[in-house]
Amino acid sequence: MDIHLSILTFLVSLIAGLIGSLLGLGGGIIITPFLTLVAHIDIRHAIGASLISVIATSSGAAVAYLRERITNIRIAMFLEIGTTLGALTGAIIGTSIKTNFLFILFGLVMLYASAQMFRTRKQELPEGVKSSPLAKTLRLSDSYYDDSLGREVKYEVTGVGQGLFTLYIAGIVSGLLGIGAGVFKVLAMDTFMRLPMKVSTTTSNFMIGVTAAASAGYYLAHRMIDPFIAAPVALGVLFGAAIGTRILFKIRSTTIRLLFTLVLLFIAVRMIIQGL
Amino acid sequence: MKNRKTTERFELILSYVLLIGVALSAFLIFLGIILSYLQPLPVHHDIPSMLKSGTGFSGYKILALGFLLLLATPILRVIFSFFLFLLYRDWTYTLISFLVLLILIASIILGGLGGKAIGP
Repeated sequence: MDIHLSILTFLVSLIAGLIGSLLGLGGGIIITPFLTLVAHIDIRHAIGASLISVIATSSGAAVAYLRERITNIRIAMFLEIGTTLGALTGAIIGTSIKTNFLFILFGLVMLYASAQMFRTRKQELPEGVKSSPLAKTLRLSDSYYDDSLGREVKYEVTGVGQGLFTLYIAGIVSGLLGIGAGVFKVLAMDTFMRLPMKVSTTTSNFMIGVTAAASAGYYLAHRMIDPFIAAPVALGVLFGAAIGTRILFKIRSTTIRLLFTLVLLFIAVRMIIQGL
Repeated sequence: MKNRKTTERFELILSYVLLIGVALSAFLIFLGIILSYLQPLPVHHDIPSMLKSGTGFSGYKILALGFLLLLATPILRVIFSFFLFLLYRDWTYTLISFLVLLILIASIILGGLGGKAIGP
């Protein structure tokens, strides 16, 4: 990579880190197409660099989100059983599944989810949620201080079993397709567990690093990470995540929902096109 | 983990674990990439062979080391969580974090042996 391309990669990664840290995504959705289509880097190394992007976004943003107590670590720890088990299952199943069908199927699921998300775009916080027995046993309900609302937000948690199951399936699917790990996590926490949007995105952000690390062995063994390509990505994403975390505290959940809807729509269309 | 104060301390410790991991790996990556441009580039551009090749310290070894630390940071976070839950005698979450750690290690080893690609 020459110096100009490195600087451009750094800047694009900065934007990926910013959006990723706000929405609980890894940034692969921006990094991979940029590296392959603009920088003309082969797909293997582009995917390798996007793994680095996921881990950097996750670890970098979590520093601030943990300190501000928005991330729910108990929910994250519990759901990580599902995501890591999904990654492990994916590793065992292997390449035997035809992925075109999966791309279209989950592209349609995301299309539906983006319509749902658009319908609830005015919803600042979930209402009328009662903690389920399992959520009580696991002590999942918590509170956080919302800077944009200027008050402490208490929340209850439900649909824990559905959330865990969805994340297990999502772990397998996103492993096979190499896309959507963070998106599925946010959707499961929003739809089934009915968490406040900021808790969903920051807790997803916290988990994606571990899910990505589960595949580190494969990436290292197959020499998919070129440090000279991944370096501007890692540094750019870390800068972007530092900016993104500051923005999250200040903006309303409705703004995050709207942004998430747009990104969801973009990913859905991309997945369907890729499957056709 | 029964009361709020211990939860707060727990979150702060994890936050520091991640901060140290991220800051140190960013420093190594930055230093490594600068030094790498001052010397002949390695033949193979990947982490395992850059760590193995040559003797003594070189820019690209520092660079590869930075990435190894970055990859290890989430795993370190799970290990720290496990020991902290153990320390606070929160048995439910000690078990949960132990399970996550076990699956994580199994999947890394399986992947390293050449399983199917697991995308980010």
